[in-house]
Amino acid sequence: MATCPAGHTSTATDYCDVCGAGIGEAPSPPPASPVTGATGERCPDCGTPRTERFCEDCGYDYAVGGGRPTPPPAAPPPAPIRSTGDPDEEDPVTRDWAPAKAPVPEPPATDWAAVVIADREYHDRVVTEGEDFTFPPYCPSRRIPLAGEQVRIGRRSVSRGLAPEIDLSEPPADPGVSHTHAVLLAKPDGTWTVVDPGSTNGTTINEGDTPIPVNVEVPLRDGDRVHVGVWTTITLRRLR
Amino acid sequence: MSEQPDFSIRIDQNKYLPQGGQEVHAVVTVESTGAPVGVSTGASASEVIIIDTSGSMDYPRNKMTSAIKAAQAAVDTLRDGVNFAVVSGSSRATMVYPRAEELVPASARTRTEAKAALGRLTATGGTAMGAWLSLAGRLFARHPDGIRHAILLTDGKNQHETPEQLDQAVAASVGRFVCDCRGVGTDWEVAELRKVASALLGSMDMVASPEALEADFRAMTETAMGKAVADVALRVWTPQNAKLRFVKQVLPSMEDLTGRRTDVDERSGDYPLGAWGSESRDYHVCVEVPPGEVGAREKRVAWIKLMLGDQVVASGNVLAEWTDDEAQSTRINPKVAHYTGQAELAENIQVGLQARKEGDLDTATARLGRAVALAHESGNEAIAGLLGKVVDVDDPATGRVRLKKDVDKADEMSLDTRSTKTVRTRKGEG
Ligand SMILES: [Zn+2]
Ligand SMILES: [Zn+2]
Repeated sequence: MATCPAGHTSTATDYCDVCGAGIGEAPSPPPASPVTGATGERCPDCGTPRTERFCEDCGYDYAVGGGRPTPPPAAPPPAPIRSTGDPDEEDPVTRDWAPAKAPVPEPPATDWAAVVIADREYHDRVVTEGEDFTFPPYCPSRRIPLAGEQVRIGRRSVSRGLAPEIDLSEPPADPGVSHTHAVLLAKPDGTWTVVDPGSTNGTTINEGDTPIPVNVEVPLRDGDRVHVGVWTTITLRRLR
Repeated sequence: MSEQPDFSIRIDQNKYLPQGGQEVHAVVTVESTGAPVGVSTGASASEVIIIDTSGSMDYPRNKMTSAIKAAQAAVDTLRDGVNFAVVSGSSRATMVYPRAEELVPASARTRTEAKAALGRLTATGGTAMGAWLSLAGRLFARHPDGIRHAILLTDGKNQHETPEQLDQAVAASVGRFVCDCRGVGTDWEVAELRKVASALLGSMDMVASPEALEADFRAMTETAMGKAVADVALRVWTPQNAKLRFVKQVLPSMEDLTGRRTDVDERSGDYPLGAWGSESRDYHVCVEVPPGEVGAREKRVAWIKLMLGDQVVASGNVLAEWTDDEAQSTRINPKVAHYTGQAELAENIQVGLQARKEGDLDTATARLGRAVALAHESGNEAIAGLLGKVVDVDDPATGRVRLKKDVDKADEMSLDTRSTKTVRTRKGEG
């Protein structure tokens, strides 16, 4: 179950069952503590920090208003475990995958790396005729060592404080990638899994046609390919 | 159904709307591949051939003999095991083969017997198509699964039943079988036969010369036998506060499906598409939604699913995003534009021909002229050719035409009949 920006409960996780609003990228509900952003103001509809006249996420117009009324600010956190009593906050689809946490010491790099390429074959498979996504003529491959408990795949967003380890907004930016599109998770046995927390366009594996289910960990092996966006293929490599 | 085809849905649209814009148009292309073509699809199939044997079929006599030959050719095309029957239609419906009111499996023996029974047919009596359809409906009732296909051939108007009786019989047949209709000669009514074929998801055509019937019957039967799945439906979801303005089939012919909706739940409805083989059809969908905010994320305004029973075999999204960039919002998707033109073409022909019949020559000239221009513009050569038999064209680009004084009845009917046949966009467009 997912929740759309207007608050409807939806079985479909890409667009709302009720109103059709996009929910793959759904922003978090208004936070407990007033924070951040240039003005500190947040969108009354979706809680994203204000950057300009229109909300970056839901298009709320700050000049003329016209969204839902601003909910009253929630009480300060009563307990250290959860910031609000809002059950939605626990729904991983309705919030960004990795809210900022207390800094953890940088763990040592594992034996794994992700190789990121612009993949012509994948692009030709998913981009249908008539869509305007031109395959980038120049896109060097990147090798990113996998470290820590999680490695996020997505697009950087200053306003949301998002800096995914595998940042696909670096030019040439893949236009089909969500802010937090997928996450690689380290397992105790030294292997990795991938989770799609509800990206707009889905994540596929090894040339598959069917996107992996949302919020389900899928184990990865050496050489497995994770496809996101309109041309990105990320191959997992075990180094030792 | 051992080998089910692979279905795909493709959506062509411009998702951008101007501020305050409410109408979203999209062309949905449904395509199936991988269905075995020709002989055996593995799907069970039933076929009923209905031949008009009213008295007029004897004038000229070659109508009856050609119809018999055509039906015999159709029987020959049935593959072994297909359940079939032949029915003769006059003021009432009569079993030709088998004698009992039932379908029998095709085999060398039953095909021979059926052809012999056809050879003994004589023409007498009137025309009551509702009764013919009712008998076909009873025959298919015992074979509710698989492909259910009928061919109905007539040469006259439905004179021996009230229009209400025909309407009732058609309504009772909807969803029970698919029926391709053919008119032979020039004494039948285009609108009447169109109503039957359209409701029963079949094709409608005119067979001007009796000699052409045989090839046509064989082709219809082959097409029906080539279907791999029966009873496919298009399921359309729309968001709350949205209104589905229309759902039209636009290729291979114009067919408004809007009124055929069966509600599935509060926001979804099914539109029956009949049986499918290896083929591609296009649908034009128009949704009206409350205006969204400029700059907001795109929304899904229609979720199109192809249903095979309860199974979703393909799906696609119609999206909307509001923008203040006029360059984006004013662009019309070429496929949407093309089929809007084809719908206008069909309407102009039908209105123009009706006006001509009623002696309103100014309207007829204007409408048929517009049709000429549209046919020319869209590259619909078949229709352009048929229009040329009804009007003299001075300038196809602007649609300047003069009505012809003497028009062959067959040419006029043939134009009317085929007015709804559409063509794909020209190569390079859309
Ligand atoms: Zn909603
Ligand atoms: Zn917002």
